Amino acid sequence: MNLTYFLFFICIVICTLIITYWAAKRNKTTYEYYAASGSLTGFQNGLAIAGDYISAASFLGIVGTIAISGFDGFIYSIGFLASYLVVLFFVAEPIHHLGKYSLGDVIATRFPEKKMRLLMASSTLIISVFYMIPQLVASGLLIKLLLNLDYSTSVFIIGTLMTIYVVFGGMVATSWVQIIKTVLLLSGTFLLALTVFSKFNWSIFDLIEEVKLGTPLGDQFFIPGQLLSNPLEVISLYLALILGTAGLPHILIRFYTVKNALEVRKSVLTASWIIGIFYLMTLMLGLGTTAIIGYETLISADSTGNLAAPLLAEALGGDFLLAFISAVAFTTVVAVVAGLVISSTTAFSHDIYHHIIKKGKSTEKEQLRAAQYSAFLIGIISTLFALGLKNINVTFLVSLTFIVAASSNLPVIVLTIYWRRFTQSGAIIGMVTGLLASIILLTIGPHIMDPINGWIQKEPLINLLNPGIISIPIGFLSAIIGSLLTKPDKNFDFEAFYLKSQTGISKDEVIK
Amino acid sequence: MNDIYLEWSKSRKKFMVPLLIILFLFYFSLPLSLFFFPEYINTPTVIWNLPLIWVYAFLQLIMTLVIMHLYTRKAKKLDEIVEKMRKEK
Repeated sequence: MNLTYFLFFICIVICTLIITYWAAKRNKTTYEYYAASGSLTGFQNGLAIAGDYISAASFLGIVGTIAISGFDGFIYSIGFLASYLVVLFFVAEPIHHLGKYSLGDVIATRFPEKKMRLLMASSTLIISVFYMIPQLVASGLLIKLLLNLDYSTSVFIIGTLMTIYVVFGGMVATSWVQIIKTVLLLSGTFLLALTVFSKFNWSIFDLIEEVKLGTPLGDQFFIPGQLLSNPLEVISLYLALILGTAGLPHILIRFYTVKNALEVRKSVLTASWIIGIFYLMTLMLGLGTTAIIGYETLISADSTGNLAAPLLAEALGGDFLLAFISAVAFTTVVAVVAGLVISSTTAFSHDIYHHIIKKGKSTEKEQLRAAQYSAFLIGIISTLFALGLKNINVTFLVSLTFIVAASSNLPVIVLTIYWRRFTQSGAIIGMVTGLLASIILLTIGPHIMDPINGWIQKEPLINLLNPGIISIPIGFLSAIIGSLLTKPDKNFDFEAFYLKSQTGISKDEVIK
Repeated sequence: MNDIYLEWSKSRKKFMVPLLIILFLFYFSLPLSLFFFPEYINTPTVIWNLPLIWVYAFLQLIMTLVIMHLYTRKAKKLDEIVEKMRKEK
């Protein structure tokens, strides 16, 4: 590792640790620890949501996918962005109004039994931890490629940092790490995209012509179907992408960090602008890589294409720019995993420890202590898993989280908020069936069953990498059928609940 | 209280229902068009010779942000009704 790299990394590590120190001094209450006391502005929270959402996989992965497969890489970007419409229209404000710290709070407002909170907390833990492990594994491999550190050292550094941020700094530190990451990521990609553009005399036409020369696909590069040859696969992927975000707990709990519905909407709006602009720039970088670096060089550096952005940075700005982009990728990783640690921590210490084990009777001090211990444990366990699972199929786990979020979490959240006839048994059945359907469909699909190098060496039973088109309807239908087969709770005042979820006006206020 | 509630819920429905239907059709016709009219959607356009589907994809990016602005503007107006509701309770 040379001096430039070292300085960039030390600078990022020191800055984020200073933030954590400052946040740790503020952390006196659970509201501060779990939700930054609702003190973020909509704009700040929007930056943090973008930082929470854009993983290293979308930064490096999408640039690489566009560079290799053209349009099909861009499909991901559009789906990722459009998913925020679902978040804005259906879940963001209700979640802010109904809960305080976690998704468990939301479901407990309608179904107060302990097992419902446990179910929601478990699903949050499953989604967050299963998302965190592939992020850690991928980042370990990435840092290894970029900095020549070995895999275990890379994972250990990232795991330690994320744990420190969350244990000491809670939501405040996590939010600010994410905000800094967004600013760095946007400036890094903007700089690169401008440099690419200037290389082609600011002419998109020249860039496009050059791309056709740089890829073996030629004209076909701009035609869909290079990665996802089956149109059904595209529809299924699109569905999972658009619905997935609204079921991701680490994104949804960010709506507790602002003070009212107006700021919630501003958060989504800011995040969407940033994500939209960011994906336009990744498109430019992907095309730039093909035009400037060329397919052959890219593939020989790393067959997944993940090194597209770093290679491009090196070609355009030498060692210095490469060091900067590597530092950006590093910050991207720590910001995302820190967000996942805090969402798992909230589910464990607030829902399971405070509400279920202690029956809601632990003091502020005990809760705060429990949260810090949970964060520490979750950080350590995930890091250990990532150290041991170096060879795990990363795309399998990432697909799993999106599909589970869309087919198990989302149906229950949406039906809880909007459907009068929804019952507790319906929620349990829907959640469990959605989860099982996702796991089974992915297991009998081409991720696991592959005649050549799969875990099960046979032809896949279902030829869909993304079985969302089957599992999402299963999740919704099983929740609906389960509800219709069981008796509704006649004592539940749905009108009051609905009014509260949509406007924040609580029943007591109305009755008086 | 009830009248204001009805006014709020009516005005919201009138805005949201058509919007959601249009959005659903608009977003899913992109992957569906790949399925049903692959030839048509891949015809080159006047914009840098890019296939039609690229133009459609860019339109979706822009549309997402436009719709969000429309929604937040409408939501602000609805918030005023909500405020009235809260005061009357």
